[in-house]
Amino acid sequence: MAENPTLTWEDVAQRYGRKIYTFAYRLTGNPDDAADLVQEVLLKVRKGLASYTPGSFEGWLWRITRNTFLDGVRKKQRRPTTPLPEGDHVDIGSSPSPDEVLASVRLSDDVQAALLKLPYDFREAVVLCDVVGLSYEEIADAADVPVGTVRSRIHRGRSMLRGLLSWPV
Amino acid sequence: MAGVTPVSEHLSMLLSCYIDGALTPDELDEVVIALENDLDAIAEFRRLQEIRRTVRVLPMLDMPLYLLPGEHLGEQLSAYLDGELVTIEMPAVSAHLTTCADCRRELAELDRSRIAIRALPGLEPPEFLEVHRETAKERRRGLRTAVALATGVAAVTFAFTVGPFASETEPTAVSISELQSRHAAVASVPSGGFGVQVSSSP
Repeated sequence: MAENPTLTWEDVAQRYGRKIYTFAYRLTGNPDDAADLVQEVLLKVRKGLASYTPGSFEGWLWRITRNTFLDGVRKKQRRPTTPLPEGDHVDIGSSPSPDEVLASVRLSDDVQAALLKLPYDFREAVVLCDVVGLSYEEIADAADVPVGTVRSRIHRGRSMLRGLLSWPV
Repeated sequence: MAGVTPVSEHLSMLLSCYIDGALTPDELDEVVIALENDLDAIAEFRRLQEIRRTVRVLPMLDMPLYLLPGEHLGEQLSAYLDGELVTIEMPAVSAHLTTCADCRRELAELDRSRIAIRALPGLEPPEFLEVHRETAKERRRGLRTAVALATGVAAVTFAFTVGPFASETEPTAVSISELQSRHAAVASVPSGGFGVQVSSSP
């Protein structure tokens, strides 16, 4: 996103709320945790925007999101989560091709379950890259690790997913 | 857990980064050469592409609307204060209050008003009753002159209504009228309410 020092928290909620929610859901498989995270993050954004200095907004936002998420995990000592039996929420995102829709309907539960089996660092890197759509640099910024670590985590996450999901090649 | 790959871990990682456009120029050269000459590298590339695509087609989720700002709570705030919200409204209202400082501020103001109104003293009984006794006498006089014009109930109302205008020398009528207007808003005394009390005074 272009840097915008006049961004309000309402703007952030409108533009990034779904991404933050989806990020949390894909990491936890739990809609309540995802909603809690969105609230916490928006609260912190609201407080933090006043002191936010123009820079990498995505990095700033996702650092907050990630840290809030990890704080929540540590505090609550959540039990291992499982995806909702009824499947995904309503998809109001971009317009995928019919094949993609079919694939997502058929596979999303399996993929979600597989994601939850990845170690957290790998899962987070894959979700930030492939679900949220961040660049490696942005992920490195958010996770406060070198880009090389991000590359490794994404690759190892994908390799593990390959072992967890079987499909024809 | 990872699938068996015929290419090196290093090349596999470069292929993963290549899909994301995250290679340095030197690494890009290495990958291009591998993809031009190594069928295993091509197969690995396709597998990684498939994995990436599979994750990417996961739908973005529609977060609960109550998490979005814009819709303030309005009259729900008073109902919230009074414990009169429908149960199903509670989670959304609580969640909105968590993120919306405007509504929290309004809630605090409403709460202060509510407390102030509830803390208002009741009507002072001695003065109140004194006035009523006076008023009762006045009203009885008034009623005697008005009795030909209306029934008893209508006359009481009439006394209140015309009292202040009937005579400059009828302070009790004015006092009651003032009292009524002063307390009506906070004590919810309906028009004519005093009349009923007056009538029942000894």
